[in-house]
Amino acid sequence: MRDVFLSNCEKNFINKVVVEGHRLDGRTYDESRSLSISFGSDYGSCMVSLGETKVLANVSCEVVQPKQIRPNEGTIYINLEISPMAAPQFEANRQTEFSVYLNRLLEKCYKDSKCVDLESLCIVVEEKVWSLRVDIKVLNHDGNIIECASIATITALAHFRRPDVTRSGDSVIIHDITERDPIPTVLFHYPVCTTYAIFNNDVLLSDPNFLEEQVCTSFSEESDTAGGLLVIGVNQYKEVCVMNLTGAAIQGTNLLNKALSGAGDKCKEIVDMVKKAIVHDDTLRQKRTKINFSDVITQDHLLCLSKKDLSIKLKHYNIDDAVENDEMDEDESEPEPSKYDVVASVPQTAEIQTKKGASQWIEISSDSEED
Amino acid sequence: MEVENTDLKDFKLRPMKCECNFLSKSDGSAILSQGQTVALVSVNGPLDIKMTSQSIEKATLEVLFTSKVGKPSVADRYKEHVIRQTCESAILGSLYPRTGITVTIQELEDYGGFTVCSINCACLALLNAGVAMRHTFAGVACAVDEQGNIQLDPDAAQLETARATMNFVFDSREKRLITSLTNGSFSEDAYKEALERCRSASQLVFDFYKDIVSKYSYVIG
Repeated sequence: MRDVFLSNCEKNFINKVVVEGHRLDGRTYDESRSLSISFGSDYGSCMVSLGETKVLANVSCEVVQPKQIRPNEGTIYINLEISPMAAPQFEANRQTEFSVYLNRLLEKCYKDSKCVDLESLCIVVEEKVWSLRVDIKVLNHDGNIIECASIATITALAHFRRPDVTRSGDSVIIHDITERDPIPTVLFHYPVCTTYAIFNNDVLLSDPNFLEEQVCTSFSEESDTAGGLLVIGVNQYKEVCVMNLTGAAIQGTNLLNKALSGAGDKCKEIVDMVKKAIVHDDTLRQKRTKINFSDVITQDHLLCLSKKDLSIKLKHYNIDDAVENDEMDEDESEPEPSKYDVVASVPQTAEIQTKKGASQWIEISSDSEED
Repeated sequence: MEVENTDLKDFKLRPMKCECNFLSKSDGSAILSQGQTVALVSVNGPLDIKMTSQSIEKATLEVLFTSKVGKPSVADRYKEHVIRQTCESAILGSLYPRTGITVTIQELEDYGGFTVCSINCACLALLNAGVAMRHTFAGVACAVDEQGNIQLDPDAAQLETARATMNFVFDSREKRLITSLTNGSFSEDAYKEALERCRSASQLVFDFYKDIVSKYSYVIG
């Protein structure tokens, strides 16, 4: 499907409203949408929703041969996918400019900032290392995917545990999770990306939704200085890991300083939330509570339903009985053989059984005479 | 097969939990959990598609299946095919010629019977999207264990010891079989018995559909 286009009416309205100090959904300029994190049954799988934007992240691991230039380091691979589930305009199994851009930002934020201790992922130097793979799936696109995806990535990485490994001589034994407690991944720092939408080169909107993102990146007639999107990745020590600006150039350092200090505070808040969520999840797992994505399903609105006792009383279908009954029926109501029915009189043969008596051929000679 | 008394026996399906309209951007979506198995389905359509894949007779149905981890595999393609065939029999595609309907399935948790769960979830999402359908469809899974007993809606532990697994999908009007997907070896009698049991149990799923729709639609129910 083609991209969704904005009407001038919507564009102008949002531009006007933002200058007056309002936002369409009633938030203030630096207010984010509500963040919620839920975990799946496996280690390293989580679903993060930021308002209506929803992202699923999964971390998996496998043993591979290390790169030649880094023989004692594991590898990390980040893959973000946008399927038509996110929004109808996306096509399946196709890399778009947008998805490449998001992938690269996440790579910069997590791979290039060296937040994962890759050396701890080494099993045997030059032979075997762990390779972590982060699969991120965008479920619903309501703006600010990058912030939602980055929270999901850091949560999944922090939550993930890999199987324990012991070495005996030359062989390496990978222990099952039920056998030995799995090992958490070592993270040096927790970077999180935040997005600011810039309007008219002086207003910063944190956590823009889909409409605000579209408006600030599109050219508008009324204001000659077009806005842009500013992505800042900061860790909990307020160190900048990644910065990306799309759209117009920023005039002056004032705006950037404001955005940086705001991003630092916000990231610290988010990281605290992520850590708290993981600790909470861990205590639940210690108590052997079953955690599952089915907990995501709420029951508090009209379109939900849950049924616990789905039971049905069924007769035990005894196949032998059924076959006997069928045979009985056949015996009772066996139809008279019609004139040309094929009936076997001796097993494994077939013959045409006809009614006995005189031939019933119609005499056609009389008909032909009438004609 | 061991002979049991012909009394009525209680058969249970795992608890079902569902939320429709889970995703705001899709035309219709549903998340369904059957026991610990969870599937998320979104439906978009009828929408504008490429000229090459348009059909002048009916809507082109596209099913996408995404597993939880890793790259797409051949097994995923096979599941897509099965689910597409199932949905195609139900959707009144001739009402939307030259358009496309996209069904996207995301695996969230697989603890047995995921195919059936995603088929049921797809039906709920199609209902939620308001796509015209001939009938609804419900899937029920069962497993045959080593002793030849048939277990309805098996969980992961039961599946591990199972000799064969069977998935059946029925339509809502006459409870006719739409799709049958089996795995493993079993006798013909076992198949027939499993089919009849699943056919009866599918009523529970249809009741579930009806209950969830009648919560907001006063015409039905």
